[in-house]
Amino acid sequence: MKRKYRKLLFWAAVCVALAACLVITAPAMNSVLMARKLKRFVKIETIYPGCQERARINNVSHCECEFVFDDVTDASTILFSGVNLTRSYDEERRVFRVGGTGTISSGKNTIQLLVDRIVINSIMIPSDRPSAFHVLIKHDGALTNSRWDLHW
Amino acid sequence: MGLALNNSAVSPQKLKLYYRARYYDPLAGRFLNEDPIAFRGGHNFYAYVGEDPVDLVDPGGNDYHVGLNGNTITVSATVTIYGPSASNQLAQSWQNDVNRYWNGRNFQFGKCNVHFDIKFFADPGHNWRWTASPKSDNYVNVIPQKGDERLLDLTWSSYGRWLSGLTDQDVAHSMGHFFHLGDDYSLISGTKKGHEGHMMSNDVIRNVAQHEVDDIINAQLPPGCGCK
Repeated sequence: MKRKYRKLLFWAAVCVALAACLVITAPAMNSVLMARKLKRFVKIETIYPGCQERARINNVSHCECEFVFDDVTDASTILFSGVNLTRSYDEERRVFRVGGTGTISSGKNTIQLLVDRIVINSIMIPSDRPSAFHVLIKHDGALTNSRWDLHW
Repeated sequence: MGLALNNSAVSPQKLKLYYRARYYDPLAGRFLNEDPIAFRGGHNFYAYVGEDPVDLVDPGGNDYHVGLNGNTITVSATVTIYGPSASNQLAQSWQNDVNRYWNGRNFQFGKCNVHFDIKFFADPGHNWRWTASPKSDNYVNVIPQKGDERLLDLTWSSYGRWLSGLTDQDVAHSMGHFFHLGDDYSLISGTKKGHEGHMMSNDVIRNVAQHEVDDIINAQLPPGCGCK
């Protein structure tokens, strides 16, 4: 009886330890998986028209916008239009560097680069923001931050 | 430990001082109930800033402080950023960010006005939060941004590890964690329904929402607060 009780206690302790490990590591594991997933997607970088130059720290300028269409891994499926739109593609980083004005689209999602603002799926990015955007454009048109934080 | 500590209210029943989050018993020389931040306050939950209130000031027993003056509630917190990548320039930049989203905005809590007073300081000369100065409610180890890092920051209670390349809204969001606000999103399912655009969401355009202000103040509501 005593032995059975000990065994039960042992397995209960194992379960509690595993649950604790899961709680602690789950957010980190999620973020690793999400980072790997996002790495495969094609990214679009542009200078944000409304932004002011932010403090340059460690030679990193933060006055940029990055857009990622959810699940788009093939660069040829992204369409660019506009006479003034310029672009170059970095295959290694899978990044389009885009300048000028025009429209970028993938499926139903569109990014309009205007002289003084950027409009994504009819949502205008505020022009008074001082720093960069990192936008993940989901299939349903929702805009989320493509970078994240963890907290416990 | 002296009893002339700031911002505490005397309970008329006994000589115990309500010290925002806890009661302090002058005879026992310790807080009577556990620090609500439990493990985050150290191993001895009844201790007061490591038994060294002279050097480590924790006037509210928490990572931020809620004060009531008339019909104005002030929520204050200090943050020291440290490490070689910390600088006065970065502290000022992050100060501007919290000014934009927290300090510079007017909020309400019931009938009361709410004002946030968050201050950033920099100490590039120290690598450890224990040696970083000035002593603050919260500490951030600044990590240099390298390339395409997706994980912006880690925040654990009053300690943060933030990348130098945070955007203004990311700084404001991370500050919310120092106010003990949790994320309104999961990496898998995204922002919770009804929390779209809130500061603790993962949306692109975020602002501090009323329920977030309520949560911050309710967690440290001063006794006798007649705001509601």
